[in-house]
Amino acid sequence: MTITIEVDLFSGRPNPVIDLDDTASRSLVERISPTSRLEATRMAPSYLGYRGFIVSGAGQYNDELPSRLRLHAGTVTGIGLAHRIEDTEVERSLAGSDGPLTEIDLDLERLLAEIDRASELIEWPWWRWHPWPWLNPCSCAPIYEPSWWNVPALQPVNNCYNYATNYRTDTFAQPGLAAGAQYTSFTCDAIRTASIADDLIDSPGADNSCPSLGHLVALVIDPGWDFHWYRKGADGAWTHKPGHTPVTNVDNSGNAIVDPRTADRGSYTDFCTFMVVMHGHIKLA
Amino acid sequence: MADVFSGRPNPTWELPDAVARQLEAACDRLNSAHNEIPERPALGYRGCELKAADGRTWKAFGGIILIASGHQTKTRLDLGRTWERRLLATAPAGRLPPINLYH
Repeated sequence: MTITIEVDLFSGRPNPVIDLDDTASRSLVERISPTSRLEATRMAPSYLGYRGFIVSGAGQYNDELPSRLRLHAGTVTGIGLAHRIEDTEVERSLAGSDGPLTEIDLDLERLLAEIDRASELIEWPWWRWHPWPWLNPCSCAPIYEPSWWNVPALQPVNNCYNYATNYRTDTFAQPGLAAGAQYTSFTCDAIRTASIADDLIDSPGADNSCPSLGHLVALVIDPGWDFHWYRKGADGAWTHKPGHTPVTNVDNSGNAIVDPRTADRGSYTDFCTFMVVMHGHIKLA
Repeated sequence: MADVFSGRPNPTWELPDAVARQLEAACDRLNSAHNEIPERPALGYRGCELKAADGRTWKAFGGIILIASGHQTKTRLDLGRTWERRLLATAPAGRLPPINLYH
């Protein structure tokens, strides 16, 4: 009757596994006794590097523990278990110079460093927030490169329309002008029609999703006064260039723009439509 | 010039010399400030600017006026944004969108 520990560490090769003797097993079970319950369900970590110790057999020593549990960042999780533990040094002890892992070929110094970082990674919840696939969701879209636009030669002479379409004219481009069909009023219909004349494609049902070709832009207006454009970048985030001011990735409240329909847009109260820019197809002036 | 639009060019208008000189004199009477122009919103009104034929500029926003002459700059404290309002009031009717200077 003993406990087996798997160090959840590797990606390609099998994780190292060790068996504890009875004395070490009893000591471990005592040290990982659950205390307070975690406030939220915690998913198993899915990043590279140390992801905890998978402990099998603890239920033989303590009825309240499941047969298999994960010990990680001062917590134990398993079926019916999501708790902090009293002894938060237990992971370091297992990997320490007196611990059982000295029996196997492992870089313990590096493991200890990763154990020390484990809480920090848990608190940094990117792996919980982003639904798969979250990497590169808009592979055809332009990258966010403010340093290219925010220079004296470009910034004052290119506006939101230039930036959103990723088309530098140095003329403060106006929708429809290149096609001889410039807007005549500041309404959604007028600006949309003028942009279509420039060969942008109206996509009102895009619903914040990237097209398979080209990239997504969004048109909003300050009714009767002005228009404004946003663009969705390669990382899925929206950015914009208000007039002659620098390119930015935040809205009027300083928040990242996940959807221009819900961003703080100041006086640009009317969301008009999403449109698609096919690279090389459009012409602006 | 009022810095207010994103897509269309910002509105500009010319002032009679006498009005411009009055604004310049009014600015000279204001106390010096050591503040920077406050952070401006991305979209919407971001301030106004008076530009003289000799290249001098007066940029006003949020209670601060930044005066630039050649490579020299100085700032004035525009309490209550009085000077800024006075400059905006010289715009021809219908040239500016509604601008709220109270927030």
